[in-house]
Amino acid sequence: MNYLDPLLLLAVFTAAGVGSIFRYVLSNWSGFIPWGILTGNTFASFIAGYASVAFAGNNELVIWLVVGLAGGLSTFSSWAAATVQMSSKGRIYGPVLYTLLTLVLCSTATYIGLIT
Amino acid sequence: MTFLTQMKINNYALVFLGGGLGALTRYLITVLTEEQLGSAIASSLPLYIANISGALLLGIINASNSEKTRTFWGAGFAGGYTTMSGVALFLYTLSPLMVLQTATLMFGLGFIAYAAGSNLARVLRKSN
Repeated sequence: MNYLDPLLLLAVFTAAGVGSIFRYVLSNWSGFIPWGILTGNTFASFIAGYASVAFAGNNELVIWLVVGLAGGLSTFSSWAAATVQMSSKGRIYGPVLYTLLTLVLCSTATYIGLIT
Repeated sequence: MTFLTQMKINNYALVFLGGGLGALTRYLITVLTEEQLGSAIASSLPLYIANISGALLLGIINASNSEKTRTFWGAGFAGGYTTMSGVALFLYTLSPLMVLQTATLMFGLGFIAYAAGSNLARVLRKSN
């Protein structure tokens, strides 16, 4: 397959744009830790796990969903921002809980996606 | 009221465009890495490149006074460029020991990169 097919690039761009809007809306839900981003990352991890097995024969579809949709919905930079900001305010439990929950929920969601 | 709604729509458009562009950049880095170095390296290196440089970028961007800049480059580009689901998926290709190492390295470097970007922006602002 052609990994640089313009249609595929456009599809990745669009799916990531849509995923990013969902993430942007979710990011408003924040309290002790950024619950909305955590939810987006967890859901995106499920999509990535599910799509990579369910559509294993169809590379374009996997790229569209995993790189585009799940990639746009999930974020790493915002995890870094939140943990640095919480730490610089002297908070300890917030960043630790956020990091642990991110790791546990995202890998569990991926696993459920992989076996579904 | 009308102009507020208008501004909301503009922000969504900025996030859409920035996020699409960010994910596309990450994808092109992956394709390029695979072409040059093979698929084994392409499964991890692009993740590190995107997530670490994206965290650094967000540290710099978040210091901006312009809401539009923060929306397009921060919520949009840096958000779409970096990925957590990609990391979660990648961890399943590793042995348990490597999972621990990779997670520690990725999260540790990401934390340092954001703090570095944040401080860099502060220094640059002072010198101006």
